[in-house]
Amino acid sequence: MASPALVDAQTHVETPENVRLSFRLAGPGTRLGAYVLDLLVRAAIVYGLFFAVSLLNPLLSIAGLHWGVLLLGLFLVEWGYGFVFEAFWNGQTPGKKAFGLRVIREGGYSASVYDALLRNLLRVADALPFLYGVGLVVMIGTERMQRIGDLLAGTIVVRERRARLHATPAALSEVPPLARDQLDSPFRPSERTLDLIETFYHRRRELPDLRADEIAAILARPLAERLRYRDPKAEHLAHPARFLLRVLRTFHHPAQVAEAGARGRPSPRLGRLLR
Amino acid sequence: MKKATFLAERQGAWQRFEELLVRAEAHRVPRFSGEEASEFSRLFRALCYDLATVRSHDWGRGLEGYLNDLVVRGHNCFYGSAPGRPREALGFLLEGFPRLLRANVAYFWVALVLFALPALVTGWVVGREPSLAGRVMPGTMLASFEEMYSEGKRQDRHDKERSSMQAGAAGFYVRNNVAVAFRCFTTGVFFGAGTLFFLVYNGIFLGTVAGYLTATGHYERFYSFVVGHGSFELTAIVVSGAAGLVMGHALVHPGAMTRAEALRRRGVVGLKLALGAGAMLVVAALIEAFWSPSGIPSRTKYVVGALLWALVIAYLALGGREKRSAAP
Repeated sequence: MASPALVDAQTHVETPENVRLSFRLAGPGTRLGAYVLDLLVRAAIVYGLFFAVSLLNPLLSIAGLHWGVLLLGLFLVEWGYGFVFEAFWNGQTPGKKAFGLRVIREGGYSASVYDALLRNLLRVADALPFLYGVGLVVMIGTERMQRIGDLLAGTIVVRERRARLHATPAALSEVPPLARDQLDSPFRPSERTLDLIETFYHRRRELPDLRADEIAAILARPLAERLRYRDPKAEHLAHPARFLLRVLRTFHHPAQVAEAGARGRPSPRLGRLLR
Repeated sequence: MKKATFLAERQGAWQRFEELLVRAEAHRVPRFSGEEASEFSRLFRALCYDLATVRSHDWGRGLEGYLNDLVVRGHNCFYGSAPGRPREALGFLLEGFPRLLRANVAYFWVALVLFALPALVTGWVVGREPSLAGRVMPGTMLASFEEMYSEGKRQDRHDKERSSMQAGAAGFYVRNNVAVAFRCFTTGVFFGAGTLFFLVYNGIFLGTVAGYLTATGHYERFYSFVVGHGSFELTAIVVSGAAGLVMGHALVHPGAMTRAEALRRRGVVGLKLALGAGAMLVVAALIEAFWSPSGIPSRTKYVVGALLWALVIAYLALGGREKRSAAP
């Protein structure tokens, strides 16, 4: 039943509820991007600090207090930036948030204060010999793309996903189902295939028509064969995307089709499909 | 059970769960009423069951992905870690840290030897032959040290300048010294090699400076300057060295665990020790900036210095000791 293992940056965790969760791991590319963004934010904070201290200089020059404040501020930004954000902002720094990354524990739990502290202190070790050389090598070498700081703290960096539950495509009620006499076999596509077709339709807006047909043809051809679809116009070859939609309409639950119809006309882009 | 019926039945519960989730994610600690918390827990468990159902029936990756991500968010929220409390931090510094140090005192002694031995040897050698100091650091640095600690009218003016920059100096010392201590600790992850290097290097450096200044006759100001904050600073360096050695030892001799597991367990111990050392260094920085350069006569400084040493030793040796209850 399981599909062959694909090369994928995913990791799985079994929860106390006996359910397997999958996470998408963040690779060196996105993490580097987040790091650069964080550098910029830190530079902005330091600049702001300089500015603020110079404004308050007349007040603060007693005993060199302005220097003290500045140096203390620099120290805190250097060592505390990553730690404070990751510990108290749900495992995200501004840079990570922009890239949709998050630090969590290996078991899928949220990172604690100690974890955040450990992994950020160990940046010193990861940053050697220069530009995070050790960190990158270790990241590429470990199974879950962890640098030394992550290995020590037991954390991983994952890409967040916010999947939405798509409604049945509105176009479904517009296409006629396949006629019974055009199908010669009692084959019924699995729910998995139907779900795949539905997913295809929700992404279809991003594709140009020709490309969509190209992709649809990959499924349309074998499906037509299994269904023993007889059609003089060979629609499954001419308009594979529309053919798939008709297959979906044919085998989908009638209640859902009615619901789709009730939602009104489909978008003009999709409308072109139905001609 | 058909997919369509399943969807129709369960969609409402998923939407309700998502509503609660959005509210929960808005704060570090979710603000739920008692009933809402129970509801959240119930919905979460039902959601896990739904995910398993969808997977076993193979109802498609779209639906599976949606439920998976919802469960991931719920899992993260449900099993969140407790937020730290500031009072715990103070308790740790006063009691937990000395206790932890005593539990790992072997590392402390080793770090002490690694630091003190090179310092003493170098100090003695350079004291005999001051020109050797030039091998360790450039002549300009030696000259500046000499200038800092020698007597004379020019130095008194220098002092006056410095006393107006005390807070600035404190900031500098915090930034510099705590960084050294953290570096000493974190490089312990390279099987202890980094820590070894830091301890020995700092020991040699200190010994050279002390030996050179003693040999050239400027020892009075130097020792009276150092004795005040030295108690906290030197001890803290040894403690951070011990922390690094804890990690290095976990990697070298993991015992019955894998290296990764041993590192993880001992890493937290090392971290706590390093944090304690960091706190001590902050104290040392304040003393170094405000007390040590002041114009108080050397005799007083030595006395206060001795008291501070006694304080540090008492803190580490006796802090957090369990009170023995009276026998019934």
